[in-house]
Amino acid sequence: MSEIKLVFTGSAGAGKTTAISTISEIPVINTDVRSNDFTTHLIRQSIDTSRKETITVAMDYGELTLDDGQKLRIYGTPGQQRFDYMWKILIKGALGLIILVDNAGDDPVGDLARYLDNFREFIKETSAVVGITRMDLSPEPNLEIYHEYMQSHGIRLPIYSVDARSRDSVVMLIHALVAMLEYG
Amino acid sequence: MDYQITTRALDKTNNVFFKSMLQLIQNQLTQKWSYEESAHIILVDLEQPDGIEFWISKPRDVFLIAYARQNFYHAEWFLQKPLRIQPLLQLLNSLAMLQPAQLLINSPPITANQCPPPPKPSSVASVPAAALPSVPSLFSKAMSGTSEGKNKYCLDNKLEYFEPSIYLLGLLQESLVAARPRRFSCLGSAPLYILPYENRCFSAVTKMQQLDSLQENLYSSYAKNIKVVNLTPEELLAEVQKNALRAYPMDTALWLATLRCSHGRLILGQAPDSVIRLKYWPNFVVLPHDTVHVGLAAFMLKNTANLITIAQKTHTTLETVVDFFNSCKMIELTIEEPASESRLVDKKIAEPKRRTLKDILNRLLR
Amino acid sequence: MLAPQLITKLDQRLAKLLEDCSVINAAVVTTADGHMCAMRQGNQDYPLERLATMGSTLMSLGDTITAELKMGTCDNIISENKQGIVAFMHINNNLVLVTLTVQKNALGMLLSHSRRCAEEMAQFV
Repeated sequence: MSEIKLVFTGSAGAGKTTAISTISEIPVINTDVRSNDFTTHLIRQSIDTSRKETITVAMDYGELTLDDGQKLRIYGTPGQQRFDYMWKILIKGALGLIILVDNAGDDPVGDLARYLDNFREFIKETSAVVGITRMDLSPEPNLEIYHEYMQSHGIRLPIYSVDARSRDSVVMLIHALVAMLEYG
Repeated sequence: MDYQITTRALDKTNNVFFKSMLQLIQNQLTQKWSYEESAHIILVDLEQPDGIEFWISKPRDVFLIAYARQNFYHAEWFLQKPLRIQPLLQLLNSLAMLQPAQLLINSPPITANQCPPPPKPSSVASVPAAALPSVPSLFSKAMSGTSEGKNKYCLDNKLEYFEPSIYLLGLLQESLVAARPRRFSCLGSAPLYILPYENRCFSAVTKMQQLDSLQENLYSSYAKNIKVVNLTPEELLAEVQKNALRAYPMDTALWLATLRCSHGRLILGQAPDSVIRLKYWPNFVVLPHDTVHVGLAAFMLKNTANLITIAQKTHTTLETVVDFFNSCKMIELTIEEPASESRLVDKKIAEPKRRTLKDILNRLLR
Repeated sequence: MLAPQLITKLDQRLAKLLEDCSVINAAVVTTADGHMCAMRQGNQDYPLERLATMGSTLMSLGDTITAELKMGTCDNIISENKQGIVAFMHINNNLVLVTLTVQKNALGMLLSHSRRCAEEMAQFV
């Protein structure tokens, strides 16, 4: 195996960079720039100060050294569809995919659908796990809705409500992913 | 009164350690205890094949104490590994409180019709699990198997089924049907409150994932040992507020009550040969689980298979699969299909990749 | 996003760039987060929206690399290809200029004209 890597993808502001930083043993290398995407979100921003004002335009990168000295490389993709060329570049050779969806976004189920569709071939060949973030701020849609969506599309993947800032949450996602890669 | 104790299947180090510790705590014991090569009271290492064999042979005229990292057998008297002073002290002093006659007879499993001995005051994990139900024969048999023997899976219809109604689970189900807010309590455990119309329950336990043995008692107890109090919704919510209780989905209580009581027995009414898959991924955030359950969930999410096949393919004991299945079924996560619908995803994972995945997980879970 | 008047000015300056330097076949101004602000191209039909987004990615990677190597700020990124050259450069912190030529021997002209254009744009942005 030439490279051991996991890829985090998902909607803008879902917490990919944050999630990677919870498990990376190096400071996450990121390519964040100030975002111009939030003009339509100004009203929401005024009440939601947790929403970040930068976006990743190339990738995030973190590392974790395994017991045998090998490096697990953790990449985060840009969230916006216009950067989808980066998705294709980063996913090559990955062990598995973690999709994070911002539940406080405009159309979170639609976002999930988009990522599942864009990474369809990869997921078919390997596996993925879905983490729904910011459910505390926006409880709807609830997990049931996501389950229904996935069931109706014949998609069988683990899905959790997670806090991207919590290492436990991120480890739980990767645990499910590893189980899917091994048994699913 | 002088008490004599011996050990069975402990390795040399553990045995020496046990003897030394016994000497060390002599002046803190309420009675005099001595180690003998032969004695009626026997500490059995249930992580050793010899110990397991000895345990399930149910020898007569001896009093057995289980010694292991976890009380897999739900033994009535249990000492947790590694050996530590306080738990040993507590165990021996508790034993000394029993009637001499009780110590000289074999320790038969408690049945549903028997009153359990009174619970012993303790706050550590190694207390005698006084109110715990017995271990069915299927569970004991399976536990005796070596890892090589794990492919000899069998589901025998004649063996007893898991009957929820005699456990906490039955009380919860009944309360949900009756839509009655209630409080359930068992000596030593934090009470559980349920509010059926909100599909929520409440407990003082802050992490259901890490229940200590005292808290576990409630979830593994017989219904007859549980005090049930009807409450109005207002009374219940007042207690929740007063005691700053934590809210959990009702599924958490149902799941835990099933997982802790089924002991490898299929839930009553379940055909052992049906093929099963999971409707969707269990929300392990609120469902206490072990690592093995995550693997089972992954397999059962993608494959439709009977329980024996699931156990074989995931290299898991059948008892674990059955317990997991029962728990999933209880919260309506399972889909059963006719045997002809069995579908296995042809998945072969290369050994180096499997090792890498294990390495990643080990690193992260450390 | 930028004000419409500013976008018009950027567009006019791009038009001048292509007029002044005939070897440049297309030019794009993009925000650092990948939104196209202005574009000009000759008779070709390049997917300039896509180029704009990629320009922001590449420029950001360049900045990340130079920061990692402690080499100061990234001035240009040059992609020399079998059938032409693409140059990426900052106008300011928030804007990136991407220019391209199909002439493999025109690197100097491409860079000097593009650099001047970027500097002038920086004045009025």
